[in-house]
Amino acid sequence: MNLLEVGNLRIQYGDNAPAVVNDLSFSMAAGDSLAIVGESASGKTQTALGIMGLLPAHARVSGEVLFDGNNLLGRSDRFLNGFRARRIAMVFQDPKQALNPYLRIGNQLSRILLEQGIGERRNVVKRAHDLLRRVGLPDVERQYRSYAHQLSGGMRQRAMIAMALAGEPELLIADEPTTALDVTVQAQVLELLHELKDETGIALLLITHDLGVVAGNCKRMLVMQRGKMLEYGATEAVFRNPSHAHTRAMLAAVPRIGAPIAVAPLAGTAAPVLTIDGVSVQFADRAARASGPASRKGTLHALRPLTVGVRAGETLAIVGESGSGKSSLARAVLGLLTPATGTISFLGRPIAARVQSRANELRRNLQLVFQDPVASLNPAMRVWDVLLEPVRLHEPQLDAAGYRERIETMLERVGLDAPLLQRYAHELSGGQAQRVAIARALILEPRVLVCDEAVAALDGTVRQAILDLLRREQERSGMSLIFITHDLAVVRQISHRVLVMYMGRVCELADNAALFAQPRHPYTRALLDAVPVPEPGRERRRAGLRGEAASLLAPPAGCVFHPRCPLVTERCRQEVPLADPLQHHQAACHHPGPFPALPGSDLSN
Amino acid sequence: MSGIAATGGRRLRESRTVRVSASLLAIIALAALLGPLISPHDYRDTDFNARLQPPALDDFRVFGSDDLGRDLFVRTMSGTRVTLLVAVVASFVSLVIGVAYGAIAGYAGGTVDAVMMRLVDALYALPFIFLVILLMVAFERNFLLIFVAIGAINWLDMARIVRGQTLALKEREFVDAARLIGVSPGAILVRHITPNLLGIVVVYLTLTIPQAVLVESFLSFLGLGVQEPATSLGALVNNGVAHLERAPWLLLLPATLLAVMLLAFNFLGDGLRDLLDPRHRSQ
Repeated sequence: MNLLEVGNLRIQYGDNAPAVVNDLSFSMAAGDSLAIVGESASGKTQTALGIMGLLPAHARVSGEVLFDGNNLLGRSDRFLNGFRARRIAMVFQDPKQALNPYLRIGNQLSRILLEQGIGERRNVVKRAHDLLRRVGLPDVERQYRSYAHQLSGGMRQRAMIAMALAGEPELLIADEPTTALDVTVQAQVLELLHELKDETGIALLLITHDLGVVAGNCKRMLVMQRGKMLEYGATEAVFRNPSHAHTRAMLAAVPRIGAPIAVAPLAGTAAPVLTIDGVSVQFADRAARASGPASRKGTLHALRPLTVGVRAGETLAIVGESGSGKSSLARAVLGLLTPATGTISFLGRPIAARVQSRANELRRNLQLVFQDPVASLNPAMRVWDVLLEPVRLHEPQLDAAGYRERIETMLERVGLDAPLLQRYAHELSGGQAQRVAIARALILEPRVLVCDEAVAALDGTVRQAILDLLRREQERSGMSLIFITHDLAVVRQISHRVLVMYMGRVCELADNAALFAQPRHPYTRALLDAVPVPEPGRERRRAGLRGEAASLLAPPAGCVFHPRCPLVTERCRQEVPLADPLQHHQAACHHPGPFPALPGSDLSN
Repeated sequence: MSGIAATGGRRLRESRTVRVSASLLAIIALAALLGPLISPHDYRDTDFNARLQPPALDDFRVFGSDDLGRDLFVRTMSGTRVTLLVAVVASFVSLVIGVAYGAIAGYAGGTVDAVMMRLVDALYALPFIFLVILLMVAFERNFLLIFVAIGAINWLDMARIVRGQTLALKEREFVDAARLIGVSPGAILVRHITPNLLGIVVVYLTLTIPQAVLVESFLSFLGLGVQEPATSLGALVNNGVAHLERAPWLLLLPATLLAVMLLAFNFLGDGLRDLLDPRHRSQ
């Protein structure tokens, strides 16, 4: 008999709304691993909540969910509590939201153990310690006494997994368990899930949007779109032979590290449009105190002095995980925060630090596209007004017809239709909103466009279209792009040069081709290794890096990367390595590579 | 109308609390406006042959009459007019001052914000009701003074709330986008911040109006409000207390109307808050 049997599951809100999950059937055997894959609004999370009986009361659910022969649909919480945690457990996307901020990790964990009657009161603490140790948390006695906010993102997710395992369930549902984590930490958490599956024989239902994550972790997969099932079968078969056009589009849109570079090489050696010279960013102790557990009075160095130039028509990608200083750099360039040191020059002339002190002509030349397209549009404004504002400010001489023409031309360039002009931001899809935000920036014809994680919040197929749009616009106008991202596969596609950052410092600066073929900084190498490869059946690589980045308030002495670096020596612990700005391929490391090219090799061996 | 307000408008019709309390207030306002026109009596006319009459249908004395033989229905309706006028005007005054003050303090931030908000704190510390009473005693009793007094109390709350919202709004990405385009701080406040304050301000306004109604009634009850023969609900309640034993309707009828009005405003405010709550809206 199957462990989980879902039959004709249908979830609907309201009479006339389309079903968010429509006629979904699948099954899982004990110890099985199944991935439910889909873009946003595909119904994958609703399915998981439906199985757990966690849907809101006004959801209308039909069909059946059989777990070990018991129907779970429409049952009381009391009945379901016999299954939750003990037999089915769930791990959520954002561990910060899922953990109770007022309880110590240990108390939350022992509470589960006691409530489930698993542990006896006297050995509960020991059981909890074992569980925390089992999920790879260091120094378990301390973590046991910690509150959620005192842990890093990866440690929180490990703690969540420990809680899910507390009842020794037969089925673990993981809803986007690594989406909120940095790529090197994602690799660690995925490895942990994999190990647990092998050792305990727990069945894993993994919900994700990332086909790379599916390939290495699940034997079977199910693809959903708008509540309907498109594919259901062995992961390898679906990857090799997708039967549905949408699956093919999703697969084609997966960025691959090994993909060819999609931008045309730069001709000649143009002078830099924008020069960043020794720019650093600091936050005073008040902001610092609010931001982290290890806070004490002092200065948070978000960005150490950094020097780099961007040439006309060039795309400079800035890559780093959270806390690397990439967004601080962008905000300093744009004048949204004042750098502590250094100067920024545009076309060879130093410019004012703050955007409000810059000349209008300069402002129009430095524009930004944000990560969250909906948040970057004023909810009280129609698309028309969003686009009219910049044109009216910078070209007051135009008349009404002139404005209309400019806006409609721009709209067409970003691939939107005129009726959209009357909509508000919340009436647009994510992709449409991002096109509007790009139009707002491009309508001023800037020489430099900064994209701060501009495609990170978008679905795979939409992301590809936005990247194509940016590349087209760059070819048309010859503008420079500063592309900030955590996603190396995107970098590979669209950039000429790449700047890799870690904890506010430059690790490596190199041409796209050189960086991917012969990374010279161990951190770059590890980042490349951590990207999940969308090829099922390949042998899993072990996560290259242990641990997580230290707090910016208490940075390690010497090289900031040394606590995680596999090549660490005594010198790294004492002396800060600096990149040589005169070299074309810079690496701030005492033991620079080049390291062997992709793929497969394991740095930590 | 903003997008939020448009969505709010659709949901408005769906919420029963809001619907019922809003229609109740509309009926009261309409009655206050039309009642004195329909009735054959005037709120000033005294009739010593018809003193302290209980409510009756003949001669259109539906609410009865007071100790001077004045028709209570007409007096209650015109009193409601005065009370509502004072409340709405005073709230509007507090809205304009409060939103401007709070938005400027919040957006400017830093020292400007600190100084402006400390001033608000200082004003909070003053016992306003006593100040108003002093003013009223010292100067000629003046209708205008009531607006000023109530407005002066209410804008402080409004300023605090608007400032808090502005602090949150100015960190939003669309404000950064506007700054990058080169929109001036004034225009950012007017075009980008204020429209997004609308939801919270509307809700808060429906909660300040009953507060203003109460303050006005309180002042009138103390005999410091409107002057005879003009009246307000508070003044009528005050008069009713004096004749409680012989003519309880003089107290009960205006007091009930006052209570119903206050409840309706409070329910409207609660209902609107639920409707405009983004967490509520997202489902």
